[in-house]
Amino acid sequence: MREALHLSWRRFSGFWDIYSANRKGVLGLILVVFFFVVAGSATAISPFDPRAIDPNRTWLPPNSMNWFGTDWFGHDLFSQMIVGTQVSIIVGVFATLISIVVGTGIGLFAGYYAKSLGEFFERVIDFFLVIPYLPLMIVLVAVFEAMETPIPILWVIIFVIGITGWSGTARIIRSQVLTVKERQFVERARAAGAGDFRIMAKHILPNVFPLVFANAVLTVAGAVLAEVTLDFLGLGDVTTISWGMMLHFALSNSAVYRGAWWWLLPPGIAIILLVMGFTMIGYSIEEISNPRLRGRKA
Amino acid sequence: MLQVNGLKTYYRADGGSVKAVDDVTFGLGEGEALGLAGESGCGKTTAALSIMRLLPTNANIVGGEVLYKGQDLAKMSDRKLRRTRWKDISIVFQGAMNALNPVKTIVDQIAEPILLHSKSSKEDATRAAERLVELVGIDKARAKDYPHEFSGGMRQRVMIAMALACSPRLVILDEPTTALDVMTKTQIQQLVKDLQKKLTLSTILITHDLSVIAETCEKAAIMYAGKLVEHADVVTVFGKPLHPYTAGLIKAFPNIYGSRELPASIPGSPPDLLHPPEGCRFAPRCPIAGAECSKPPPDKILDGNHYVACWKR
Repeated sequence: MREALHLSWRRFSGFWDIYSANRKGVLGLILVVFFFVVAGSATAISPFDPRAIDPNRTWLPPNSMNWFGTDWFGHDLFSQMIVGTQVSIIVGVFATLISIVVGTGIGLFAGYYAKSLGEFFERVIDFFLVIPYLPLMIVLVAVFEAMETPIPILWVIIFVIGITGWSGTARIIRSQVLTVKERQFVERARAAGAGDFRIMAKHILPNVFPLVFANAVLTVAGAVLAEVTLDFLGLGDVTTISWGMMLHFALSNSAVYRGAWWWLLPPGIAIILLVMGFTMIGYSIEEISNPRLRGRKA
Repeated sequence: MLQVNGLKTYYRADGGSVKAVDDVTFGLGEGEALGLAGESGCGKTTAALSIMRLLPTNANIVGGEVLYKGQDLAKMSDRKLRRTRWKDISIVFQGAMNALNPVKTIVDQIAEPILLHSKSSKEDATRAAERLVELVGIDKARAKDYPHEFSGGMRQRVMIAMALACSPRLVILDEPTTALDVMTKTQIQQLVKDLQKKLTLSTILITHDLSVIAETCEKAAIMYAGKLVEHADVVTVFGKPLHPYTAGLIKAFPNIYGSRELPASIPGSPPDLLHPPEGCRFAPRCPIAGAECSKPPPDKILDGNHYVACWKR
């Protein structure tokens, strides 16, 4: 057991040595870890209750008490920013989980059974690839909300983003499976008596996993943006506090007209930083797992 | 123990079927080593893969039988075949680099067939795999390493350990020493020979390197263009080759004695297996071909059990 731990530590530190040499990757990781920490300790570190209203303190620019100023209702925007991080992180992670599981599963099947079921799966993937998914998401969310399901809207949004965002992953995984399954160790495993499912799970999946991982990190970025978009368009839950909702209220209360830049800029910049963080991690993992892209030290 | 009778394996291709293995017959006894030789594309690997029915989807066994302990593997149900494969007959694939999964430790890969073919627990299988790693001469401490951490020769040892995982009776070795340097090649040959004696294994060795067969096998079979041309014990085949193709192959081998010159080669190239010649397939390149060679050659058995398919002998 100790030996195994030691071994996995050795492998991890080996990976870390390569990863830490990638400046982009480290910067991305710092950004993402920062937002995760903020989300995790949000209730503890937010100076005010983000829902508390002070009618005497509205439209205030940043000051010593309200670091990011206040909005039209008199909410403390700094506290809203901190608590809003949670929604972005939760939606990003869980929607990605759905996308990746569905995309990897379909990609595996489409690649492995390329001769028989491949054509069918490919058309399904193509179908989801070409659908303009913003309108699709809007329609799906609207339908779910009209159905008045007892499921919280946040989870509806997670489900909708997850179910519309898997096609890119599926296509990438499929093409990789097509090359991996022709490798001789797959034939050897079959000769040794392994069935289709065992070959897919134990031999092909581990070989495409770095790709799954790199792709997952990139998908998080897309999911975060999708959530912000839906909130901004007013399809989210108006009672939750999120960056998208902040932008939504800023727009509907003519913050631009009032020149309240402090209401618009923080959520905008935070979204950019979080998405950029995930994207940079994703690209550096891709660079590391594909040595041809790895920057060589001269 | 293994008797292949009139085996025919054809590939479907544009414009007809490629007769990669056409009416091949050979046998193998308990503990015997058979060397199957011939130039590239002569059907030796296809013949071996046909025994285990590990053919690509565009290839089919269209005739003949593969009798293993009285059962015809060519007609066995898939389910039953899957149980026989690796447990009774296993294979060391060509190219050890590609036959190992790069993201799994070697001990896990060796343990996999054990897990699939017996009811042993993961721990037992791992322990058995570690014993196999030692059996093929690799330090047990390296069992948890990944394939890329091994050299070519060691990877070949891992492949051999994997083939032995379910203690088979017959092991097919497909070009086990090709692409290895001379020293490693000798070591692997020695290992195979030792294991064969220790475990009373039967082996079929596929190679284009006649020296390997001369050194490690008791019997030799020479194939040309999908046909078996000569089959006898090693001493007879190399000492008194009857088929002109076999003689040509042996002459094509460099001789370290005598003057330094390029060894003799056989003029011409092998026929197109989509449309092979009507008669003897070697006739167009044969130095002693005559009029009768445009008819299919007879199956001659000379001196007791020296098979040769040639009109002129």
